[in-house]
Amino acid sequence: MRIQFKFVAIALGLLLFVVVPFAADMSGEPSLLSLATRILIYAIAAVSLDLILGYGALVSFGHAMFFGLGGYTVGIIAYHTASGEPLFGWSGSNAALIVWPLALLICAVFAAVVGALCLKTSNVQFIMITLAFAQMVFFILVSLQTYGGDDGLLLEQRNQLPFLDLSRPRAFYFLCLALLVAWTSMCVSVVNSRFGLVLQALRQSERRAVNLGIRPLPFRLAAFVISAVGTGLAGVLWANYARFVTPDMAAWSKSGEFIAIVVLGGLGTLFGPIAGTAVFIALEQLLSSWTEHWMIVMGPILTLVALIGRRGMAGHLFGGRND
Amino acid sequence: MTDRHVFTDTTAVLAVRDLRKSFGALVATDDVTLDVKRGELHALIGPNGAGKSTLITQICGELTPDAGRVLFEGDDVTQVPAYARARLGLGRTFQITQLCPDFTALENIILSIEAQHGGSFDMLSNPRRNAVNGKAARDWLALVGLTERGDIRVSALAHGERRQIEIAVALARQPKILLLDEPMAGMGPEESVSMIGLLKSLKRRYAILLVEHDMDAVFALADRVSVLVYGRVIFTGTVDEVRNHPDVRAAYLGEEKAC
Repeated sequence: MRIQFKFVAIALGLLLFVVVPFAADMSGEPSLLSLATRILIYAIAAVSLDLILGYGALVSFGHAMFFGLGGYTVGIIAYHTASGEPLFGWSGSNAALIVWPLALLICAVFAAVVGALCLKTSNVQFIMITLAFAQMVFFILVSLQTYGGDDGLLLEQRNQLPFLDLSRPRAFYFLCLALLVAWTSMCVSVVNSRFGLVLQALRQSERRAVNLGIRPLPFRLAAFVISAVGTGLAGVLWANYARFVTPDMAAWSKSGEFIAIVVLGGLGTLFGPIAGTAVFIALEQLLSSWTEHWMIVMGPILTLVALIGRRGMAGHLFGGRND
Repeated sequence: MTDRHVFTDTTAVLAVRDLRKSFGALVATDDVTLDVKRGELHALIGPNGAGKSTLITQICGELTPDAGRVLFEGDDVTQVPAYARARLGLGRTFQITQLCPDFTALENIILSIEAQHGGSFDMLSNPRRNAVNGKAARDWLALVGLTERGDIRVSALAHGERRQIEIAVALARQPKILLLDEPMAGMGPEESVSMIGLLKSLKRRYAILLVEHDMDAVFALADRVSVLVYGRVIFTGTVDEVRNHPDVRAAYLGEEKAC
């Protein structure tokens, strides 16, 4: 019964995302499509964070660094492509099929190094050290005067894909939707796999897992890297969506926002954070149109959700974790 | 299960040699020497605070001793980390049950079966849907007498059932030796009786080091008994020898009655 209900809810959610562009057209509100695109992009980051936060209990308070890194890779390559200044002897490229995998690769390598260092700690120390690395990335981005420093970097155009004109909002929207669906499916597979079983066992009882012969670090590190790549993908999409990257993408407040979204949607549910993103961003849009102090309203809402239960929205609807 | 586990084979699966561990001025493990032979059930008894759990954590590798050696099948594993010792064949249960509370009983056992594949990063196939795994897990569950309880989350199981599941989890990893840290702790009389029956059925098939407070259980099960007092093994012998040894009676059995 519950499983069916969950299946129906997911199908309905997907249907809702599919009809948004048409609804935006009919209602004559193009800003609706823009809002939905933002939701899709943030949802990819939220699902990625949930993979380590919900299933691994690794509270990364620095995930925005990968969001920023993915975005800046796109931005910096675009800058060099447009200006004609070579980047390490490379004249740059506008092809998404070159730039995007490169950005994800950079995120993966960076996450492997940062993760290997951070995962030597746990609990509060882990939170603090991920935050420290994110702040480092943030200040490095601020100090990049060539790339706009504090003000960030404007992109002349979106990256190009064969057969799909990304400069058309609707095409870009459906690409984001397809990527969200693909990424979420992959994360579901990871969670249900042998790898996911071990990752969740490490969360529940590390002693038990170790005494069954499981070495924690490789599993946690792999999950950290996967999560970082997903967040990097969100950053890549964001840079293309906004055609603008700023150091704020890697700010600690952005990391906090990701955590808030995951908690709001439901830790360890994967689909919950997608719903959480939709509610968070829609509320942000709504409240900020009333007052610039929208956090005064948002804060108590988040506090309430955290107090009522760590299961979030998905937990209340579907009952518990998606273990 | 195979012939080499028969008791007549007297080689030690586990040997502890002159093990020493101190925390500040407190010597928790004081030159402990101990053997567990193939197929033997060796019980470790001692009053509270004697250092039984400290000894077990050093044997399984969670704690590094200050001096001395731990030998597993003749190889020195003193510097080998806990996860690698588990891979060599050291299975254990804990004084305070260590299971995955959000997983069902079956999932816990499947985890143990899957853990045999060490570092494999399979991210595609679902081990819960693997028919071979499922069958094996249900067999282990049946062995501990909980066939009906497989699909219930561990957090919803009774304390005694969790203790039994923990043994099934340890067995599913196919260990060569079992370290059981007070498997009867917190159990009612009926549960204790069924646990003793279970341990009896495992005797001879595995080398077992049993840490236990319950004297009836120890005397019913053990081949040999070592008595640990203030970190030191004061006596090792058969059940009858231990029962009649004056020092042991003074140091432990008398104290036990006083509690």
